[in-house]
Amino acid sequence: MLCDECQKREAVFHSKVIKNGVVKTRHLCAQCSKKYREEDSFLKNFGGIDDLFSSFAGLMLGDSAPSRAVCMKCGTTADEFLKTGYVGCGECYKAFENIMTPAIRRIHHDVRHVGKIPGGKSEAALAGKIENLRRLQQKAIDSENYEEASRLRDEIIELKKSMEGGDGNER
Amino acid sequence: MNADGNIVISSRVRLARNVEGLPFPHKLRYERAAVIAKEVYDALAPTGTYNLYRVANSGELDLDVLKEKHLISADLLHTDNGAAIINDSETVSVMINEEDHIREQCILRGLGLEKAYEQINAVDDAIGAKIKYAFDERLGYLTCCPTNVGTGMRASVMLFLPALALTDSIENCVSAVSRLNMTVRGVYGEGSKAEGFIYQVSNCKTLGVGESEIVSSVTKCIDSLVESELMARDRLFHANGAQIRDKVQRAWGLLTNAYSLSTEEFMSLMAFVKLGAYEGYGLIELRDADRFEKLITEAQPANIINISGKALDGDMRSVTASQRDILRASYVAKTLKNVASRK
Repeated sequence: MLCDECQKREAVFHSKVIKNGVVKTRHLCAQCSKKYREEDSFLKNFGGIDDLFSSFAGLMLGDSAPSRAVCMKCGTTADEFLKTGYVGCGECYKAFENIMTPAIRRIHHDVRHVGKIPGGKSEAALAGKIENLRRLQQKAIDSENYEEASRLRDEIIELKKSMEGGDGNER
Repeated sequence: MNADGNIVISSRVRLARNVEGLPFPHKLRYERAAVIAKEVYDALAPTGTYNLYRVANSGELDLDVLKEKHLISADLLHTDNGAAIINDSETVSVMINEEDHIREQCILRGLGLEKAYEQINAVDDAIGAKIKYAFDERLGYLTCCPTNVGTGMRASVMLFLPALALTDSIENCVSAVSRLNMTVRGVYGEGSKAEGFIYQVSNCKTLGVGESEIVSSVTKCIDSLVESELMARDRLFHANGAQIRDKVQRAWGLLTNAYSLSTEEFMSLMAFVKLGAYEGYGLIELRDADRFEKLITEAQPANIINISGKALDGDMRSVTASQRDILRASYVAKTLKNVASRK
């Protein structure tokens, strides 16, 4: 495969970049990729989708300046998370919620867990969750927010499917 | 030979879990970290025969053998308070204090993600009955890196894709797979090379998707890769039949006659012998496909030293690289002649 940039040399670096929700695939030769690395800060973490995912600073580009928040439980700072991509404990998810939520949405295109829950009460929890979503769906219909209502409808269908198809461990 | 042309090597499902209330491994004090291994071992011991390996107390050779068998990751080797709890049949392995406190995995031969999930789900329940996992109603299982949050599940399949690689179609397949929210890596995980045309395909998305959906989406992706590989094998043989036959026979000749064999040379030659064993080509006859497949792991550096029994006190460095290459050549020649023959 030829390099996207020079169209002459063989492409040896292949990357997928997600910017503003748009996925772009790039194939570059060694020389052009070097040029890009220097020019494009987003590509500083070039080398594949995993590198991109671990670069949360990259994911946050275009957003407001990083928060100075500190997790009171483990002492991890928001900057530390942005640099490493790792949080220090479960509480960090709450402490850095304002930067975690957009990052999580960009990685998973979702912010709501629908899989297994610990403890084996999954069927009951699932039923409760569906009921809750139905209420939200009705509210959305009442306020003529049909886009949200159809999203909630799809979510309910998904949950029901996992309830019927799963082995009782999924909600 | 499998119906799928021996393309699918193994299926693996991994679940990432953390203990509620504790800082994640890179922030955890050594003493508390060491206790987790014991707690997990105690939770699993009544359910089967498990062995506990602590990184600090294990020899380098033993750990490398486990790494080459894909039972532990390279990262665990550098973790002082790391440990692995592995069952007797080496299908279930639980890594302690790697990136997350607990990483449970089940690895099975061939395509069987559903079965692998079933087994690891039971392990997860057994550990979960004794240890309270860090879990959030909205985000699911909380993990050290948010790329794993939600189900904490990675379903990956190891594939042998020589024809796609040789016909330069692999890059197109990799970008097609990426569009399905999957990732392709080399044989020993992130950043490793695809030695011997071996690739790993796994899901990226772990949140907002159920476990069974992950299993079915990865399986679907694998089915289409297998189909592409089979088509590429036909094209390849049709266009370059004589060259392929020559490559396979030369590879067989070298592997059964060489006096010394490096890992890289073994991997590239073995790939051609394996391609020759594809029933559509019928150039190599396999009498024992399981043993043949196992040879790929057995010929890796730590495994070959381990099998030879030549390492003094479990020290890998007591055998030099050139001694190791000689041991490998003799073991490979003997095994190959036993389990296969050239038609």
